[in-house]
This record gives sequence, C-alpha cells and structure tokens, in this order.
Amino acid sequence: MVRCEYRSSFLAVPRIPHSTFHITHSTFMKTPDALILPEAWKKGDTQLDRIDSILAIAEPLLNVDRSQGERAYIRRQPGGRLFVTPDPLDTLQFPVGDSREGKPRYNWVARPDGSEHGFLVEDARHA
Amino acid sequence: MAATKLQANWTAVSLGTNSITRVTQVSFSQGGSLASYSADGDHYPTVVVNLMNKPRASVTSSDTATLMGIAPGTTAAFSATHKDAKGATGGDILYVMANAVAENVETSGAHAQFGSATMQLLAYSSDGTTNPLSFTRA
Repeated sequence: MVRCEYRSSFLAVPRIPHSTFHITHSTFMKTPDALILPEAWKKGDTQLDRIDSILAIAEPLLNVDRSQGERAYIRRQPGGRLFVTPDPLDTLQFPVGDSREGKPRYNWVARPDGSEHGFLVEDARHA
Repeated sequence: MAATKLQANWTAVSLGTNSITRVTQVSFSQGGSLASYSADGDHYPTVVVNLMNKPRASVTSSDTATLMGIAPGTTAAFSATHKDAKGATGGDILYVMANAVAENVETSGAHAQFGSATMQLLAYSSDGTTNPLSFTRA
C-alpha cells in the first residue's frame, strides 16, 4: 500500500486539517475524474494553441474520447490553476443547498509535477 | 486543412434548449473586478486585488422572436462555438457558461435596416468556487 498525503486543492477548497488518506496502488491506475493543472503549462502564441496544449495533457489522462463527442472543459481558477473535467457543469465543491455544501466533490492527489488528480467522492456523480 | 488559428463567425449558440440562430455577435467576459485599499494618509491605493469575478455573456441575433421569447431570470447553460476562420476541422473554440441567467433582452431596428435583439447573461457559480465559464476545442 502506498501512503500518500491527501489534500484538497489549494484554491478555495477548504483544507482538511491534518487528515491523511490511504491510497492503494490501484488508485493510481484509475482514471481521474478531474484535473488541476498549473496555468503555466499553457504553451503557444494563439488562444487555440494554448487550449490545445492543455487538452493534449488533460484529455488522455481523463480518458476523453473525442470520436464519441467527448471533450475536456477548461476553467480558469484563481491562483493560476486550471480545473479540467469532461463535463462543463462539474464543480469543485458540492453546491450551495446540498447537504454536503462546501465540501470537496473530489479526493485530490497531488502529483510531483505540480498537478493534482481528482477522484469523485462517493455519490458525487449524482450531486 | 490545418486550423487557421483565427476565429470568425459563431455557430451552435444556445441557452439550454433554446437554439439561437442568425447570430451577429457573441461576447464572453471573465467579469473580473478589482478592489483597492487605502487608509490613513494614503493618496493612492496601497493594495489592489481581484476579489470577485462575475462572468458575463451577451448575444445579438436577427432572430428577435427567439431572443425576445426568453424571459429575464431564465437559467440554463449558455454555449457558443467560435468557428475557425476557414472552417478547418479542429479550429473551433467551444465556450460553455454554466448557470447562465438571462438578465435582459432588448430589441431594436432602424428604418431600412434589419432588426436585431441582444440578450445579456450573468452567470453564477453553484458552489461559489468553480468558474462557471469553461472552454474547449470543439
């Protein structure tokens, strides 16, 4: 078993104090449901180039199949971070009014390269 | 044909199930604003910071009936595709604004001119954290 510190995104997502999260090797084999990427990873002189440079990283990781009409959607977040998911309606936290309001919808796993991989928490797909 | 990396004209413009055609103008705004701080004997702000963003969009169409049929307060995802200037595959940019709320629609027409209507939209974030404006390559 690989022990890895679990932390929420350092955007506006509340940090869970001193909590740790045991992640099995199979966790790393799973396809993430969301990504947080540094905005500095954008490359290119045109808007399309910069979008493409992020999609080239994100879509394979998210297992997006463009031939099936799927896309990865990019949102600029404060702090120079990009929140990328296959659904433009995805959110970082449970919505206002939900019983889990304000809590993260993803378990975030920090990667050595500065990105984070998000895995939907239980029942988050229906929120 | 390779993408021109230039965008021209809009297609697939919709607010929820309302398809909007005859589009002559679409705009998306990140809606950023700045707050400045000063105190005591300051004559200039000592801190300027972006504390709040209110993403907005607007669309102008000659299909005035469709736009005027949308009531203020209507809430849905607003999406629009900015096409590649030469129609090249992979050159289109798709914008999606989640939780877009129709603020107002105005219509006008001058003598001997085609009429048009413009709708303004303001988006909210369902969790207060996630940017409702997203984009991808179409």
